[in-house]
Amino acid sequence: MKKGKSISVFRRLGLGLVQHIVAAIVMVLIASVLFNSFLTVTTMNGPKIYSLDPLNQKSSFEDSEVFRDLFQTAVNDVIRLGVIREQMETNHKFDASKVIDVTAFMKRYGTAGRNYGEATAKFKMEDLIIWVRYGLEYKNRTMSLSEFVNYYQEACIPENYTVDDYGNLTFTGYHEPEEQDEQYAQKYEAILSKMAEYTEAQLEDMAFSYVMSKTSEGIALNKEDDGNLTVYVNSLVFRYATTDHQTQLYDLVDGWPEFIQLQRNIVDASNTLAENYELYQNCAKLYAEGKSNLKYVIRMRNAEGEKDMFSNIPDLAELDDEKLTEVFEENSKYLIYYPNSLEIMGNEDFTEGNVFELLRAAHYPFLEDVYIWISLDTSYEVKDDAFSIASEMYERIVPNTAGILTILIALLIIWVGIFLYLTVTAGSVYAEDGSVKHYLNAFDKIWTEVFLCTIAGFGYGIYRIILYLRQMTMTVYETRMSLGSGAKNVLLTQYGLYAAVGFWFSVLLCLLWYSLVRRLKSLNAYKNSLLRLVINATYGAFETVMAHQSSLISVLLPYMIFLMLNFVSLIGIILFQDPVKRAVLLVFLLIVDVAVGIRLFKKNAEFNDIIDGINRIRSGEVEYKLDTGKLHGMNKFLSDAVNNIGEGIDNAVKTSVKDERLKTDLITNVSHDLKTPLTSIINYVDLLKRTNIQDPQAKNYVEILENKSQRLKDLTDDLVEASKISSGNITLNLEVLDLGELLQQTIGELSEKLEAAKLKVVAEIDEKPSLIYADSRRMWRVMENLFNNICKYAMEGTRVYAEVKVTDNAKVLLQIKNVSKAQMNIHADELTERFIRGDSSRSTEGSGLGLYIAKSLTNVLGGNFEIQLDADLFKVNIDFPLYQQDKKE
Amino acid sequence: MTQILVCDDDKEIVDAIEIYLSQEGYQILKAYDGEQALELLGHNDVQLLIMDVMMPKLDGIRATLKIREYSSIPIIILSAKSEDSDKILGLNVGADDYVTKPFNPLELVARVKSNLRRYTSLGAMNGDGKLQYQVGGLTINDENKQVFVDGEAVKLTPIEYSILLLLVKNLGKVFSINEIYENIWNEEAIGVDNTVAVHIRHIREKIEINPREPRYLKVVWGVGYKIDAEQ
Repeated sequence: MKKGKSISVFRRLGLGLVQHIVAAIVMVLIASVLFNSFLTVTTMNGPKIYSLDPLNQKSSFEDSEVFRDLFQTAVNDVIRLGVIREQMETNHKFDASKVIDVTAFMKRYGTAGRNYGEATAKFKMEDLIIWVRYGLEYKNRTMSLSEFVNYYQEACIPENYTVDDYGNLTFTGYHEPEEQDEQYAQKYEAILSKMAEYTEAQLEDMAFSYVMSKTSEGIALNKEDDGNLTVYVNSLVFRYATTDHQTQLYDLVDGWPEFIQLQRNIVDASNTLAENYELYQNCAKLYAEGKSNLKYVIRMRNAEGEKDMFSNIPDLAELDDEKLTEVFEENSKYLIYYPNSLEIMGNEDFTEGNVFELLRAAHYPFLEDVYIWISLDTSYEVKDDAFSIASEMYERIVPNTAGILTILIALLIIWVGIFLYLTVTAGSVYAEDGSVKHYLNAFDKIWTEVFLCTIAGFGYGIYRIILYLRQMTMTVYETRMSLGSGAKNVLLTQYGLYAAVGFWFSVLLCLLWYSLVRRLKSLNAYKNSLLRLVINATYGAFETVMAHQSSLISVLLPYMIFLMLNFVSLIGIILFQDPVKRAVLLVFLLIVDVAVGIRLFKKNAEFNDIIDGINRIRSGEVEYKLDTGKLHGMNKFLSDAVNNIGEGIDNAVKTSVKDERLKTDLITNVSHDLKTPLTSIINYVDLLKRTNIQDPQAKNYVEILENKSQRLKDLTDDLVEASKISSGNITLNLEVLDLGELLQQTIGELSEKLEAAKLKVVAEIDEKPSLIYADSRRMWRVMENLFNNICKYAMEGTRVYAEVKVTDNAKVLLQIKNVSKAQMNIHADELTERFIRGDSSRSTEGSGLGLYIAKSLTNVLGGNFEIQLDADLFKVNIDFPLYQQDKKE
Repeated sequence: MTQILVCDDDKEIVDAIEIYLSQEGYQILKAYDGEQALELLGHNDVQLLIMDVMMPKLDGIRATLKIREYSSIPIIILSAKSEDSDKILGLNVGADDYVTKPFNPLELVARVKSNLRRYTSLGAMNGDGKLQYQVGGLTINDENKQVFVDGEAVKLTPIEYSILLLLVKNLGKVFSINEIYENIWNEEAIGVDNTVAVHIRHIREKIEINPREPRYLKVVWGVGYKIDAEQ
């Protein structure tokens, strides 16, 4: 089922190539759309650029946004042109020497309702325009204080003052004087009485201070060192004389206010004219007869108050209104505006308000007298105007654009399709057995970070390339603009560049993307990363430090770092004023401290686990293993060591148990094998004994044979017994028994033997029941061995003292004392070793295992067995815990 | 003529046993493995079988199991295996007695005799009188104070007899030395005395074939003495 996810390398490469070529074609198409989606048309305000939205285009140019905007621009231009023509033309011709009365000009075209004064000067229009071109110059003129006060009217009138909250008089600016009647006196009583306290000079000072703080209109006041005031006024330096040949402005005016007003009018009028002259130059050409498909007639009042017609088709000016309207309505796009009709005739989106706005913007005062006829010939007979160029380009571009866009989208779908297909199959190949393997090439094995940096670099490169392409596209567009016609000459290299960018973008993107996919698929994005390397190295270093043998490094170093962090953070918290920084530091400090605390806690918990483990191993649970997976540093090391030790003990114990068992098995088997020939020996010795042997020597030999064979039998029995006890391979039948009773039984049982050894047993048994919990037959074996031992090694004719005692600390003690026959040159402990006997010659009978078996059995049954030697005094102490009935039940 | 089949893979042991038993007047058949023993049993009138455990072809335990399918003749197992568990196994599969190697020839002969008596002639001894107690091969006639072991009279001193009677009258009960003393001598036991233990030992020497491995008077070490009722 995974078969579909793997394809051959050649198919991959082929598909990749197709994909990249598709990308190149897509880019070329995009370039063509971009190169052809700009329209440039020349308007009165200069070239205007339209970008065509390739996705939203009406089929007909006349219905498009571009057309609408163009038409509106044209209407705007024409209306302004009408106003400007009125300003600059005499009898519909440009008149450079037209006389301009600046004040009248400003009243007509300036801001409505503003006072432009009465004083005026007349200039030739060209003088004013050129004057502005060369720049207006000013110089300072001095104004006397009385002139200044006069200019600013009376300062010392109550209307200019108020009394503030502190009872001081304050100048509040110039106000018109009011009529001085009863009401007036009442109204300004307080101010008047206050003013009476000040001298005239003081009041003027206040006014001066006020004016000083609000110098304006080119007037600068200056208080000289001698206390006199000087007033400077910016006054225009005349470059051109008026038509009356006046060269000094103040000759034309009466006083400063008029001077300043007139000067301002001149400046404003000149600037307006200069500006309009520029527009006139542009528009006159654009909308001249035969240069535009647009025709217009504007009728308005000229400066003389007469009705005047402006048109780019002079013939039309002769027609009356109705005729004009008929003519203009013939064209498919038109606008006809009558000032007294609320409705606008026309088939474009214009309202009366729009026209009003346009006229107002052109500063034309007589709105009610303006009639406008504008229409456009949509057959575009004039070839080079904005409309025909735009129409031509539009018709050329838009239908193509739709087709191009369709192809573009189709190609993009193909590209994305291949992209997705190759993404799914990336990094998978058929292995020989048909299974799918994930593979990585050399490129995929570089560090993930480097790879990511490459991607980032790739992204930045794309960004730069897009910027470059944009710039190049703009260049193409600008070239086209400067040509003033359609973009017919886009270079092949420019398309080529787009294609190359598309191709290489596709190649690089796929290279990086498939590599990323392969990395993710084979899950080695992290494995191959530098981050992992760094983390591993850090962790390794950390582990090394933590597991270091020297406490100086493993404890002191982290502790110092911890202290330093705390110290630095605390200092920071104290020093930083910024609460945000403080909070950040505080949080950091808390995190560090809590983390260290948690670590210490965890470490301690781990440590406790280890101690618990050690205790369990110590108490015999040698198979116990500490879980080292969740431990760290020193603790891991420690727990590993504990596990090793435990394992060692476990192995040792197992081996030893196994060895003992093997040994026991061996001994048991050997003893079985020994017993069979021994049986024959014993039997035939016995038979030999029964024959009638005359020779006393021979009789003696047979006797010896009988004894030794008997001893051999005892030896084998003891051997098996001893090895079984030492390997723990015996089963115990524990029951309650009385050690005193046992002693009595033993003495009775062995009485003949003891008598034969000429020994007298003195027994003393505690009156309290000396109960112990043991295996009775094994205990008998212990007693039998002890007394047999005594019979063999005790000095003849001596007494043997045996005592059973219940001690205060709940123990039952059995003590047997006798005097040794031979001198004992052996340590007491050695007597209970295997095959050790008091006499090293081993000449006496016995296996040498008696005491060993006695001691081992005692220990197995839970008692203590001790031998004491005091010169020839041989002492055996056996003690068992006292069996306490009430406790057990 | 009593025929005894002796079966052991060690020829010398078989020969030795033959010598001992022939002296006692028994006729001996010899076999050296389990199969041979079974074959001989099938063709001869055998009264008792002595058999080793570890033998080739068919071991003693299996042979015993087979024999017990059709015959109830006394079987004495003779084995080098001396563990308690071995003995218990042997007796459980149907053997009447278990003797460990190396064995005392006289003990073996005694056990053979004992088993033969019980097998052949014991039934005739029954029903003499009311004052008669019997445990296995041990019979006590209280009327004439006689004690028989496997039909043979045993001579006991009066105290020994009283002790034995006390134990036989209370089969299974364990008597401590003091209890026996108080019962027999009718006075309180004071101090340590091994009289009772010595008497018990003497009784065992008289009524048991091997006093160290008593069949009747058993020592419960550290507790006392008892005679168990027959299983």
